[in-house]
Order: sequence, then C-alpha cells, then structure tokens
Amino acid sequence: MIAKVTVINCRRRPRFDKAGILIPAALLPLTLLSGLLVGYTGISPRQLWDCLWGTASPEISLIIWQIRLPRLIVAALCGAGLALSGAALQALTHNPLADPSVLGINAGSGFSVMVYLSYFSFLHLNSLFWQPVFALAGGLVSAGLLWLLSRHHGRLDPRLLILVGIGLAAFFSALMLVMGSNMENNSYQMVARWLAGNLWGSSWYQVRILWPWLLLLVPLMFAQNMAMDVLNLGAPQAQALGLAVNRERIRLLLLAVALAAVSISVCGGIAFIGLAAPHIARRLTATTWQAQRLPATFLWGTLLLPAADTLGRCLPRDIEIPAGIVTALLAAPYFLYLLRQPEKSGGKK
Amino acid sequence: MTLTVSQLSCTHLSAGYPGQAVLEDLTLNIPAGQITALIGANGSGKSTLLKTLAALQPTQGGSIYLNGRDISRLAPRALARQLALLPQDSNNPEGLSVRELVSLGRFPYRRHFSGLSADDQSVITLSLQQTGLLDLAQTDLGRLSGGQRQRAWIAMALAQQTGLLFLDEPTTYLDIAHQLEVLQLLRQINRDSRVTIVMVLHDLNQAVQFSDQLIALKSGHVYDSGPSYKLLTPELVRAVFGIKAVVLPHPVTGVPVCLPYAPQETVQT
Repeated sequence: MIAKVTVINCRRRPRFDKAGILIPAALLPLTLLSGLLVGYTGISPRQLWDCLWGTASPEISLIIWQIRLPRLIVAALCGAGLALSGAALQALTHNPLADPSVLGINAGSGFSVMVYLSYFSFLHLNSLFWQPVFALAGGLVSAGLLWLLSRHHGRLDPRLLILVGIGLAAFFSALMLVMGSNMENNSYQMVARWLAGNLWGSSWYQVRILWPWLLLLVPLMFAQNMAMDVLNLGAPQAQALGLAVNRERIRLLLLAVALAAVSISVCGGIAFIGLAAPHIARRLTATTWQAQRLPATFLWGTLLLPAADTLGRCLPRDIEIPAGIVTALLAAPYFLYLLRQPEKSGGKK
Repeated sequence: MTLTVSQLSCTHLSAGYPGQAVLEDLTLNIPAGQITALIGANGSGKSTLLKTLAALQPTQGGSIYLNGRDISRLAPRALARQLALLPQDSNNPEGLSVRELVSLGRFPYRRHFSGLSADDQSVITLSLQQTGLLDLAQTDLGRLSGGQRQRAWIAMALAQQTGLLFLDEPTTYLDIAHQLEVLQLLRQINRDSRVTIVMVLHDLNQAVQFSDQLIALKSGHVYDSGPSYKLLTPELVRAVFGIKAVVLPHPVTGVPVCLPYAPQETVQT
C-alpha cells in the first residue's frame, strides 16, 4: 500500500546540478571578455586579438594588460572570497540571509583598514603585506566580539549571531564615520572610495595580495562540505554523527572572516555578493548538498563581481559607478525579495 | 550486516542542568541485542537519559561504559561509529535527496579531503535497501511522507554501522499506520542485525508490543525495569503516570494492553 502512495506522491526531483556549474562556467568567459572590451576606451575584438599576439598599439596593450585584465582578476578573486565567506556564514547561522556585511565582519575589517590608512603611514611602503593583515585583524576582532556576545551556555547561538552582527556592523560603521570626519580631505577621499567598494586602480599588485590567501583558504573551505551538510541537520544530530559542533562553528567563522577580510582589504566594502552567490547556486543546483553547492557558489562569486564592475564602467559615458554600489543597487531588491519569501527549509521533522 | 553486540551500562549516573539534576544516581544496564523502551511521564528524564547515554549531554556524576570503555574518553567520531542517535528535534533538510541524507551517516568514517569511498557507497545502498528506500533514493526529502522521511533518518543511522541505535520518540508526528510501519522496521532491524535499540516512546501499548525490555522512569530515578510483558501492570501505570488503568491481554496477540481511565468516566448503564 505504501509503495502505491510512493508512486503517486514522489515525483523524481528535478535536478539541475549540472546547470549550477555549467551556467556560470559558460557566462564567465563572456563576462571577462566584455570586461576587457568595455570601458572609457572602447576596444574592438580585433584589437584584443592583436593584443594577444603583441601586435597592438602600446596604448591598447597597456589598457588590456596593465589595467583591465588585473582589475577583472581582482574582481573575480574578491567575488569568490566573498561568496564562499557568505556560504560559510549561512551554514554557521542556519540563516540564508547571513553574509559578511550583515554580520559586521566587513565593517570590522573596514574600520581596521581605515586605522591602517590614517595612522600607520610608516607601514604603507609594505602595504602588500600590511593591508590584508590589518583587514584580517579587524575582521577577527569583529568575529571575536561576535563570538563573545553570541554565546549562550558556553555555545555559539546561531540566532543571536545575526542580531549581534547587525549591531556590530552599525557600531563599526559609526566609528568609521567619526574617524572620517577627523581626516584630511585627501586621505578621506581615498578611504571613502575604498569604503564604497571600488576596484578602480586595481593592478597586478592586488592580484599578488589575493591569490596566495585564496589558494590556501578556498581548498580549506571546500573541505568543510560534508561537515556543513551535517551541521545543517541541527546541532544535536550533528553531534550524534560525531561532529564537534562548537569547534566546527568556530572553524567556519574563522574561514569566513579570513575569506571576507582578504577580499575586503583589496576591494573595500562590497556587500551582497556573499548573500547572492550562495543563493543563486542553491536555486540552480536545487540542492543544499555542499559538494555541489560550494563549487557553484565559488563560480557565481567569480562571475558576479566582475559583471558588476563592468556594468559600473559602461553605464554612463564618463563617470564610473563603484562596483560596490552596483552590487548594492542590484542586490538590495534581491535581498528584499528573499526576505519576503516564505520560510521553506529549516522545519523540524 | 553483522555487528558485534554492544554492551552499554551506567553507574551512579547523574545528569541535567547546573543546579537542577534531572537524573540522580542511576545505575542500569542496557540489555545487549534487545530493544529497550524508556517510558515515563513528561519531565521524568527519558530524553535526558537517552542523550546523556549517547554523550550528547554532559554527566554531572557517575560513569557510562560502552563495551568496557568510559564513554567520556571516546572521541566524538569514534563514538559515532559505535552509537547512532536520532534526536527528536533535527532540522528537516529540504534540498537533499534521500541518498544524500543517508550518506551523511558515513560522516564518522570520513577522512578530510576525500569523498565517499566505494565501501561507503555500498553501505549506503545496503541501508537504503534495509529500509525499503532504494526506489526513492534520488527523491528530495521534502517530497516524502512522514513515514518515508522517518525511514530515511533511520537509514542514515544504519549507515553509521553501529551496534547501538538510540531513538527519541521516533513516532511523533506520524499517523497510526506510519507509527506501526516505523516500529516494525525497527524490530526487523533488531532481529536481522542484532542492533541494540533504545527508544523513548510515549505510547505504553506500543512500548510493550515493540520492545523486549522496559525501563520506567519516575522523576529522574528508575522506578522499575524488566521484560516488557511482565512490567506493565496497573500498579506501574499508577505509580509512574499517576492514573488508573486496567491491563488486559490483547484479544488477538495476547500482548498486555493498558486501558487508562478516570473515575468519572465510568458510564452507568
């Protein structure tokens, strides 16, 4: 009798797991290509082709090799970092709306980098090293506060985490405003541009800051896939499956902070990538299975930020909109749409 | 699946929350290879006992021994290879297929930076087969009926390949047909592979019908324990639940059945 009910009720789940990977993988070259061609100086595919063979004019060559290509790579790397950071935080908080900017990690890193830019000028010569270190330190301070204030009976309480994070974000943003008002005009402009989330002026220098960190952090993050799936079953069941729940939460928090902080140290306060990439990946893979969802999230991150940056460069004729503002403009409605979605997962059995 | 029969016991066990002991000085032995049902009123400590024995909750005194080893000295993963527990309050992950959920039962065996091995895959298939879910392996959990879903959770616990299986109220939220289906499945698993099962059950009659042993808890103490058929008496029901009942043999199966009543319910004819 049960077998009959089975046949009627349970259609096979439509699975687009391949689409989750294939769509961004197909869009990525397109985005990168348009990112190279579009901008203040329009470049034709022909000129790009010449550039590849070294026969283009020095001017075009400079724009492609020294300006647009590194900028796109920086955008892709930062996007990947922010996307995976969001995925980790969502797994940690059991909340699809968590993201490094929502939890105050962006603001903590931002504040710290602001302190670095305005009070540690003697370290500026070596900012390849120091800027991510300061961002990381700020992110860690923020995460430490988050951890201390969200504990309940000695354990991390995922629900408190969101509320405390919003509080911290507001606090650090306020501190940044206070600091900004006391700054010289010149450095303030620099900081303000960085805060808005800007990829302007990205060069191979920033690529060199980013890639070693991501080379280390991305595999570590991917290795958490099964632990994240187990954690998704709820803390008691996760513990019964042999997961050290509290330790895993701290591990995810640290990974999220590190991924967000390195990205932020370069691209500034770009919000919503960490929110949107895991969610689009979830939609397209139609699964919460992290072995499929994490790679898709990673790809969407590498896609979304270069796309946002390219969009910001090509909309009006000669002004640039910072990538952070483009993502905010596009993602804020998406965020509101998510908020209005009826709660689907996370029910009790 | 043949497994070594697991021996679990505790001595002078106390547990609960700081300043409020739920269990006090409990000494008991879980009969190996059998099904034990924990019964008792709300707040009598059934769930706490189950979670404490599974090391999900810290003890405040006494020790728990699993196959002669102190359970507090076992690493979580090592313990999860010997004892599986299905708590009552797990998240229902939509967006996972049945097979994916079941494969999480292999987590305690997994090494970092490596996927599921061929061994893991065959254990998963076997667990699906044992619970009759092979046909539904690719179905999303969100599309399952309550009974099928509970079977999927049980399959996940089976994939842990443990000698002990703990369940906290495995029949909650299920209708009567699915309740019986799940309990029959558990008995089948116990008979086929000698897995020791300990479960918290609310329904006394189901507890008697589907368990070999009963442990009756009353305010953190063991009121009585023993073979299910013998243990269920009107005196036990009155002492443990504070209600009156008659206990009769079931007309078809002969298993004792408890019929509770309140004095004013007697109808005059």
